[in-house]
Amino acid sequence: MEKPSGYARVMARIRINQELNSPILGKPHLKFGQCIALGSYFFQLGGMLGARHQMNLDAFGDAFLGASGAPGAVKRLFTELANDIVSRSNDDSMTFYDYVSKEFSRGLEVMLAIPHAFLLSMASRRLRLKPPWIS
Amino acid sequence: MDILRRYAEEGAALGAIYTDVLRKMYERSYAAVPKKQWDEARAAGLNIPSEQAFIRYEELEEADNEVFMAYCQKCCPGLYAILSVERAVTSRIDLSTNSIRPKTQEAAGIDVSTRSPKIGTDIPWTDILRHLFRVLEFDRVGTTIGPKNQLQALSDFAPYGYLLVESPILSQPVRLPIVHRDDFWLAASVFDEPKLVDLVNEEELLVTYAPKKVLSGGLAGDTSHVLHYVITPRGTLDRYYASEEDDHLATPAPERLLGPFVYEGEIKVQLNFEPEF
Repeated sequence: MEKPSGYARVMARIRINQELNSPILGKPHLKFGQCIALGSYFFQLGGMLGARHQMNLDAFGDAFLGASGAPGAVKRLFTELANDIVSRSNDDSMTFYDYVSKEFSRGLEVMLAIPHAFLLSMASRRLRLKPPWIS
Repeated sequence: MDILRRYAEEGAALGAIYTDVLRKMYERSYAAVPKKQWDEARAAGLNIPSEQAFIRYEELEEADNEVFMAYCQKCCPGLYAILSVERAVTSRIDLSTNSIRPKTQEAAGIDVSTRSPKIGTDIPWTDILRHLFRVLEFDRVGTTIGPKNQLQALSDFAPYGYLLVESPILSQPVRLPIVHRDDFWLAASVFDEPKLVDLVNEEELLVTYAPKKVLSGGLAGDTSHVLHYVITPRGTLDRYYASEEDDHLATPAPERLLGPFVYEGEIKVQLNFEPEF
């Protein structure tokens, strides 16, 4: 039996299957806009659960992400990540959706100045489940 | 799938380290549309309700956490036990406010200030899971032990008895229900023996609630007994929670005083006169 790999991955599998578009012809797929919506949902989910279990980060990291290690390792990882997020996103008007779309734009190497114009043009295009820019 | 997991990880990091930043993001994400704009959209024919629905952060967090904890209970019970006590670790459980007291009793004119709060009713089981308490009194509520150690309770629907307990994590003594016959029998084995009663008065009898299997609400998920007792030197409980090396408020470790929990075979009240922290 496959070893459980953390709640986040299990939920990702479930949510992707729920959101998949299955055309009569062609492979099941997600549209670009759906990817961003799902990304922001997972960012929010992780945030709420992380805040809730902030006193037990080692146990939480193991259960939520399947990440285990020496005591305090998860907190060190989270601190580094959170500092990076805050330094990159020092915008007082940012929503979950904004953050994820900005990150997508960064991944696509699109100029950060026009992310929304790009997203609007891409929002209804079909994308493969695993876009080529994701390793 | 990996990218969704990455966003979940980033969100968890932000929520755990900068909770206030996350909450502000939540408020901005679900900010209400101005009423005028909402009404205009509705008047234009959009299929939307007359009033905007807004889910409070706490409600959504509670709902998400419930599903997460159900997953933990099924897939990683060891972690579930640790994560279950997270509500109690943020601060001492303050029972001085009336918020946790039954409002109906207050409304009916019952003076709840004179009544000890009851675990399971006034305090969630999850808040006290694996925490240690000092036993002050044993209330049998009419339950008797018959031949062959058969318990005869006054009611089939009420606990066998109660333990009045106190702890540094509580602001006042509370009543701990005894819902398993073995746990009642163990308490009685101490309080029915004069020498042990004297010993308990001189030293201290500690008890912890630690079911073998825990359900999402903190209740026991199987038929094993749930209370574990140990007699220790006076002051042990205070030293246990005052320990600077280990934060037992955040991470209870009752096994340090009780040894491994025994659920089957011979169960008894432990003696530990040389506790080590």
